[in-house]
Amino acid sequence: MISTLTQNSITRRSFVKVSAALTAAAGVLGRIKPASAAEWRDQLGSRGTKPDPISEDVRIVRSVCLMCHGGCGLQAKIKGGELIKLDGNPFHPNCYDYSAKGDLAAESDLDGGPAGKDVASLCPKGNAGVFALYNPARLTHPLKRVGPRGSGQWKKISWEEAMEEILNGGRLFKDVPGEEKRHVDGLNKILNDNSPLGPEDSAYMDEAPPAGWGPKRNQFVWMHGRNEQSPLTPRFVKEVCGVPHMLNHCARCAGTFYNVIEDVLNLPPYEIGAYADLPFTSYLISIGSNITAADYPMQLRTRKLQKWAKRLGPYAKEFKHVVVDPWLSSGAAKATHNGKGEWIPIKPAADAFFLVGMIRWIIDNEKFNREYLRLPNEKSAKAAGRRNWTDMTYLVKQTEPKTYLTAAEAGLPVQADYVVMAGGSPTAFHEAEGPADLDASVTIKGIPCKTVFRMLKERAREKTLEECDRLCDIPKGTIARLSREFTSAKTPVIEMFRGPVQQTNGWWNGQALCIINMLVDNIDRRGGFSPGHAAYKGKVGGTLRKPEGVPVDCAKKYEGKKPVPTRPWYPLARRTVTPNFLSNLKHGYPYKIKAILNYYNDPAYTMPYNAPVIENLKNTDLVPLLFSIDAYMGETSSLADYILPDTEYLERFGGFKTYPPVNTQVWGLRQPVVGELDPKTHEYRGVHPDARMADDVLIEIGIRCGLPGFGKNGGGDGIDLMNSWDYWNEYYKHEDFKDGLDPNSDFVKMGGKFENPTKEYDGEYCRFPGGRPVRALFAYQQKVATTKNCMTGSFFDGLPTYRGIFDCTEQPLDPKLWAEYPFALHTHKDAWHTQSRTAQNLWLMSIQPQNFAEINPAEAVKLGVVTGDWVRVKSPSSIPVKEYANSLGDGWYKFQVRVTSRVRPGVFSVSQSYGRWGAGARMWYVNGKPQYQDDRIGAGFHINPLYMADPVLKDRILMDPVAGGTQSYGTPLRVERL
Amino acid sequence: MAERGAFISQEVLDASFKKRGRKQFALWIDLEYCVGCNSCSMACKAENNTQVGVDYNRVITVEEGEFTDPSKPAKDMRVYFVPMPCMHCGKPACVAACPVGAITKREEDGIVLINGDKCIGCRYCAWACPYGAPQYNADTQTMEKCTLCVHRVDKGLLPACVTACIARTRFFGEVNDLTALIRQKRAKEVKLSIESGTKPSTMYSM
Repeated sequence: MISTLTQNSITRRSFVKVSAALTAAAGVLGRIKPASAAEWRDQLGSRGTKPDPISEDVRIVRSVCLMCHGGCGLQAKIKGGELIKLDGNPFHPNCYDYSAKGDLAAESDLDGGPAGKDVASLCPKGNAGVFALYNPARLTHPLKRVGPRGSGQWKKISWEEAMEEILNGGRLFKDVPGEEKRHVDGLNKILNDNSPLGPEDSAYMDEAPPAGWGPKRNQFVWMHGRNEQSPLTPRFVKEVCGVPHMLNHCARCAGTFYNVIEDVLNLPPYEIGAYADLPFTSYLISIGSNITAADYPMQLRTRKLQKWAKRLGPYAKEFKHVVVDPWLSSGAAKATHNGKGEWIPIKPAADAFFLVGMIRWIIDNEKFNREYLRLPNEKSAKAAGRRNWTDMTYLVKQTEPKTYLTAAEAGLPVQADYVVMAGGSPTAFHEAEGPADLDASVTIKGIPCKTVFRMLKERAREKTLEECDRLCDIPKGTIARLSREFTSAKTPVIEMFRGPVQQTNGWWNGQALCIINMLVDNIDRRGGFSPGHAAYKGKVGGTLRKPEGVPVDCAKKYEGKKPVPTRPWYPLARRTVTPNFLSNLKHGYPYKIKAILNYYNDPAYTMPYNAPVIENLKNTDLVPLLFSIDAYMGETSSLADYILPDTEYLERFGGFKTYPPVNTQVWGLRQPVVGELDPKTHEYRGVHPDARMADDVLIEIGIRCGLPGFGKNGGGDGIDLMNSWDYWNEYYKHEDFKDGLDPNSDFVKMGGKFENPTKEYDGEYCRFPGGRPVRALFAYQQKVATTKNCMTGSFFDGLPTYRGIFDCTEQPLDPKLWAEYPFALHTHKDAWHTQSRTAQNLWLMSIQPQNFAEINPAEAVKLGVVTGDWVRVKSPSSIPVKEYANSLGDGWYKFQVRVTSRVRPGVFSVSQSYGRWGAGARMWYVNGKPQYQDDRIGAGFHINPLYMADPVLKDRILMDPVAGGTQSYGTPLRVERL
Repeated sequence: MAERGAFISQEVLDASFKKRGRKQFALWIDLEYCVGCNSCSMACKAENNTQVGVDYNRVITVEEGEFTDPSKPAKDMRVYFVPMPCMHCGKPACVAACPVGAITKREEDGIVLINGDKCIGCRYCAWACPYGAPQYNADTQTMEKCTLCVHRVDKGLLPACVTACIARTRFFGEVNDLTALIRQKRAKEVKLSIESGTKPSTMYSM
């Protein structure tokens, strides 16, 4: 049973041990009589758990969930200052289907009160947020380590002490053996040092760009995992501190997905991806997408699929779902439930062959939309009733660098970036009156050129479909059959999430998928592949710093004197490449750093091939100061010097947008559902009075270091930003907002601003709030084709490639490896987990107390194991990590096996989120006293130490060289029975 | 009000709540659309404040068939998810098993309730129930189980597990209304363990 909660919280929840006072038992077996209704309280008696009251004195607060990153609105029920229930916010389109009377949702549109009939949903994680708020595993005071990093020995300190030490530095660890003389520079010194980084900071001055590495304040590094305090947090990092690196987790998450969609579908950055518009989809291929258990927003995609696409939508009768995945996900279970859909158990990391194979079939069989692909410009697109056109007719030079042929190069008298063949002659693309030639190869002014379509066709024909089926290890003829069905369907879409893109070939796989959708002309369409989401925005002014110099993750163009840099650079990655930083640390590359602020982040656990991450973060020479803002003793926080306890998401101000499956404009307001807000100062205290909102901590750091952008007049003249409330109140007064945090405003009462959710379409296209220009889509990626892989000096390919896993020099893995390591690593996530913050939620953990290593019966027979048996596993690069209880030494790890046909043969699959060793899984001590710990938190297994390192770099996971996505599937493993 | 596109309209629900005389409230869970997420289980915990270890609703996963040969289509596999609340049986085994008469079935609407004051924690009901509905609370040392959210139903509101379902595949209503809907869907009505003889009211369809 869960032990008593901290003294500070008032709760009637059953976390508190109840002394069992047995009343005298009746003893007499009376006649069994049916009882009557409306006396349920008597019928249930006074002992045992009690359901929530439905009464007048229950208060409603609407906010935004943060159990994952989907941004669902929530509706909290508060009684007597205590959170008793979470439901969805009925006004938030993630949670509920309704229609508003006006353009914006109003409270009168729904019966949404505490006893209202409009009750909206949350996913299992959202519902378990009640436990999260009162979780005994939460940190309650600032902590400072008293032993070496990772020793689990802490002391409680005051906020003032914590701030004083972190900001002013000193010999902070003089009582720790080995660190007696170690002087640490505090943030005040680091952030105010604008002198240039020099040879004392970097052994690689010959790799710096001409302007140098930048100022020494860049030695402060921010790293976040789940950041939903934007735009306050980027203001802090980029404009208050003024450093160029706000490292996120996207490289390990889905950064490549967003990057490739933005570039191929030509979208402004950060509109976040593309998904099928499910209610009008008649044929759906999901590849590497855990559609009914994950992705964004999980509950909305599930509802759109299960309620609309399959039941109420206009194509429900013919709807077919094909799930391409090495694992039979819940989505695949639903697809195949009554024999309508299919599960295609593709081999991990073979996605390129499936996707480019589909392109081959579609081109060979002329099932692409020729009329659409021949449109060369905006005028012809509009005349043909389209919202977009493609570059398929644009001519590309066949000599390197392979840029689009320009009008000037073609000798045309006009200025144009693209040239097409129209009416038999080269024409500036915007001047073509009608359709241009699609499949052409010509020489113009002595330059050999081909249309993008021709290049795509030739690329797709580099392999036969038979080869593709074989490399995917799926039955012969599968790709052809599915391509035929796909192109014959009324509204076909192929969509993805991490599966195809979190790979070394990930960029090109994502590109291939987007191209398939382009070939059938479904981009932006109702029932098609719909990208982008428009959020409402506010604003905070102020005079701010500008970041300068080179970010530590090397996500910039390499401009050093040395011809080949020591470590890879990522000029095309629009999200940061944090795994690159975490391994570069070892080499002090590109320059040494002085401090890391780890915000709501757990790379020690979450990074694939995390052994070097743990090792590097522990090293006080590499990271002189490491401090975390965390609500729990996370794995990474457990390695830190200081931990500043964060409030939980139900105790924060802020807000969040949502994702492309929502076609209307949305912004959810995040506001505390419990706790106390001082009416004058607007200082906030939640369940734990000594935990502080991260916003407040960052603002204090900014003020005390004398940095611009926070504090008195931080938001501009007369606009003080002293705390989180100040910032968000100001933010919500501008642009799309006007009321600030006025508790009487609709904005605050409804928990956000929501456009009428039925305004989803504009004719045959998805409506895009605010409009979107009719634009070109780019199947060919010139930027990629004209960027060199800095490790090889060769240009990247501008089109999708038929490749599996390769290293940072784009060499394929040694095929001999597979003889010794014949299994492919695989992972997935269950619906009730989020990466690294749900194992400590015992409600969620009770759904499935542990995970297993799942293998197919065919493999089990070969290994001689049954469910429950143990195996040992290693990868070509795995090394022991002492934090892992299942580490056997020599890079072997032991796992308990579950035999199931839900994973295809050849795969070793271990779901994420289990095998924790932080957040209360292991004992830890404050002032020598044992703290909250529960074995159930650490149950199960974690696969991350077993990912394969890049064989060239050796100390970092394999990564996509364009956008930086980590190879999260399919790396080789050796499995032996124990 | 009911959700746009609701499978059971507010009118039908209101009529169910208002029906006079003996009736049986029940849940219908359409297994075709259940994604096994356990939102129902978690909403139930929050609504009823159950501790870790006490779960009025549990979702089991059933795997049928085998797939071992990638050269052939994976057509034999069938995986589905079965949420298991209390069945509020017509002839509850728990009621019959209880030695102190702590469990009763309401006359008006057939909801079966355990009285925590009368319960002595002997667990015979858990032993007798074929569905695992009665759960032991180790702190109070008494049994408890799904109440079909009687506290909500009493006020004309839906059970928490119904409103929490993200796939919109759990339905509450009067048994005859639900049966009509199942027939409308032309689904085969499936009840669990018909042989058990307890006449479970919770209905499933595939």
